[in-house]
Amino acid sequence: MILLSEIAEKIRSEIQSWPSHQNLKVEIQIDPSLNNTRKGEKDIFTELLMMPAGLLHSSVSLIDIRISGDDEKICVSFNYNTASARSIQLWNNLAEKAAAWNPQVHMREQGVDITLNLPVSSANPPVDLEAMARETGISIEDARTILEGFLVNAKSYVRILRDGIGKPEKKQGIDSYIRAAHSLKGAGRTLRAPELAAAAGSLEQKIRENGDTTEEQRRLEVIWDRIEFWFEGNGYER
Amino acid sequence: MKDKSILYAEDEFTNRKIMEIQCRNFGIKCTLEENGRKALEKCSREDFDLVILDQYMPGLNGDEIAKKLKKLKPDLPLVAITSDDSCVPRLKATGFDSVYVKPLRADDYRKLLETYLT
Repeated sequence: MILLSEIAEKIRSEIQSWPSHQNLKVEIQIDPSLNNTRKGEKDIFTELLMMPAGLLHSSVSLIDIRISGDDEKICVSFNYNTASARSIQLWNNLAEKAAAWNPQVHMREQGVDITLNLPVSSANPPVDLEAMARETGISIEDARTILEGFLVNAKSYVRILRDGIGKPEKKQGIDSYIRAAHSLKGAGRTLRAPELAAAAGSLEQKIRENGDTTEEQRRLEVIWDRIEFWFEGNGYER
Repeated sequence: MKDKSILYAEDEFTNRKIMEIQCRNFGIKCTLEENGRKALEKCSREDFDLVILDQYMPGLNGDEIAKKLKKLKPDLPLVAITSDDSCVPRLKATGFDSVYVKPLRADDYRKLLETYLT
């Protein structure tokens, strides 16, 4: 399964960790109406989207990635502020891997558009208790105990973010919002809750950049609602 | 590994609990701290066989604690755990003996504890 928001977050942090691209500003926007959950191998999808970024000339200082589409396909547009996209032709070397997605590549003078058939996947449970127990080597009973504690802790983080960001009369300070989002991201990874981890990670990044967090907060609220309903449906008290 | 003791400083609940359970299963005494500054105070006062530090914590971050501990107790093994894989080289340069990236898997916990406690 592919989570578009998770991939976007991974691409952003990966590009910004490259020594040759330390000053490269990466803007990634996902159409908010787009279904986030897609069928397919996320590693291949990430590799496909990383390839154009990896081929950028060092003179490029801004890369603007926009992801749009519908329930059957997605279109990823890479836009650069300088240089040409000629080196992007090398991307075709990877197209074989994505043959099942019928990739269509359109070169532009300052960018490239990649369209892939990537249908919506049926939504998975927001928390994968069995995967967490299996992958961390703990018992299901211990995993359940951790989940109960998580619910209590996570509620307080969600409340801090919901009540504080964008409200200057609240004096918690930006650091408390970064910590709350960071903790939700970490818990999401540990609990094998990738949507929570991705949504909280995007929000943390946006808060650090001092940007407009409206969309990231909305996405976090949507996934938090799903998690709370999942808890209720699985016998936990909300 | 029985009778060994570690200190694990981590402000996030789920990671703290999993380490506690892993230590319990290996028979290791595990002391937990949620705040970096308190973790440093505890390390200064008490003896541990291994100190594991989350990087991003209230009070003091893991790398700040590591720098101070390396002066106070140069032989004490220090392990960092971070959710940001881009800061691994920087943490290694700080003086950590190992750096792990979250989420840790069963093999990571085993390797981490066996490396420094056997």
